[in-house]
Amino acid sequence: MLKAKFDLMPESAPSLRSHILVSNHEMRPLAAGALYWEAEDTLLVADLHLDLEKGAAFAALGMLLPPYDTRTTLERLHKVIRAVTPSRVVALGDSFHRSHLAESLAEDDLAMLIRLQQGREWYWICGNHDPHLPTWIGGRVCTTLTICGVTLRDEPSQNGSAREIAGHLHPMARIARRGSVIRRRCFATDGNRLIMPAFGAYAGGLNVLDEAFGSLFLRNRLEAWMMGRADVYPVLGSLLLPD
Amino acid sequence: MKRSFPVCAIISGLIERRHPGQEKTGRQMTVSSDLIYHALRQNEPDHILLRAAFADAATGLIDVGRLNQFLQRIRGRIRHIALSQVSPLAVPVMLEIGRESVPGEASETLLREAAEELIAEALSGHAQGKV
Repeated sequence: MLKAKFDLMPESAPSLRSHILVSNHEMRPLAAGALYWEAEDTLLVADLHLDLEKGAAFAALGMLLPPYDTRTTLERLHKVIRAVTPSRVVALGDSFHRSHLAESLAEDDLAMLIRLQQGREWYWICGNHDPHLPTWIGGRVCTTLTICGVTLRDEPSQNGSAREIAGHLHPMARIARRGSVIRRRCFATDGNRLIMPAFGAYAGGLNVLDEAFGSLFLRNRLEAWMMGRADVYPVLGSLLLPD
Repeated sequence: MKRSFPVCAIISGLIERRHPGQEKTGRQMTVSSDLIYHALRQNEPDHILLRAAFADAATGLIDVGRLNQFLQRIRGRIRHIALSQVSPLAVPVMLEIGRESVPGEASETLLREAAEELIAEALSGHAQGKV
């Protein structure tokens, strides 16, 4: 019945898709850079790079940046969680820039982090930056987590047909239109694998066409969901440009 | 202000200007002055770089000081007349309209256009029975 109704209205304008299919599960990418898996009421974020104010760390290398990234990232996370109110949050690795520096997390930042965890399940997946996490940051720590056959991990596996959601690579996509170039963080997917953009405020990015992404995606099915201000825009892989 | 900030950030040595041909090293962090601008606006609105950017903005695109003096000088001596056509002296101003782009909105539109191409391809694939 419903199908017939659609067939009767072929002239209705197609709207932007709002879901990414990963192994046939619908995921909703949010403009803030998080992914919401409605059916599981689960919010995914990747590469928070909290703590160790990157500013402070880079200052040691001669790059001086204002040291507010932890607070900025936490506030953005708070906003997303308040809007979505998921019953489960999974942080896909590299949540902290360095394991041992999780201890230097400012007191009010830690308090905020603990507050965000209240009333929901919270999982930290370990990444290369944070292989050992202290227990007092709350939540459960694991190396990978599998939900409905989809594996959540930090670094994508080399298995070509893996159904997984990973982070770690900080994908960015670049397109040119009408003489202007747009480079944005993106969700990169081919329908089996999805790589999340970095959520951390100062995190840099890597072009999806970079060789580091190698054979992670089936090229003819690659889509980059580019982050706009209020929307996420799915862009064909064939429109993407290298840096 | 946002536009004059990058110049201040470069002069202060906060960010480096990238020259053509300069190779990026593998782990180099790309710092956008935008990020720094927002971080400072949010957390240290009185930061010296923001004050410098403000001072630059006040004399860059439009000289706020001179405008102020001008408005004081002509105060009470202005006649407001709605013209039915563009006056000759207004022509340069009219020509400037549309020259200034609002970056945010423009790129959102371009992104939407790119996304529509994906829809178009999906639909054409459908028409040919490929889906």
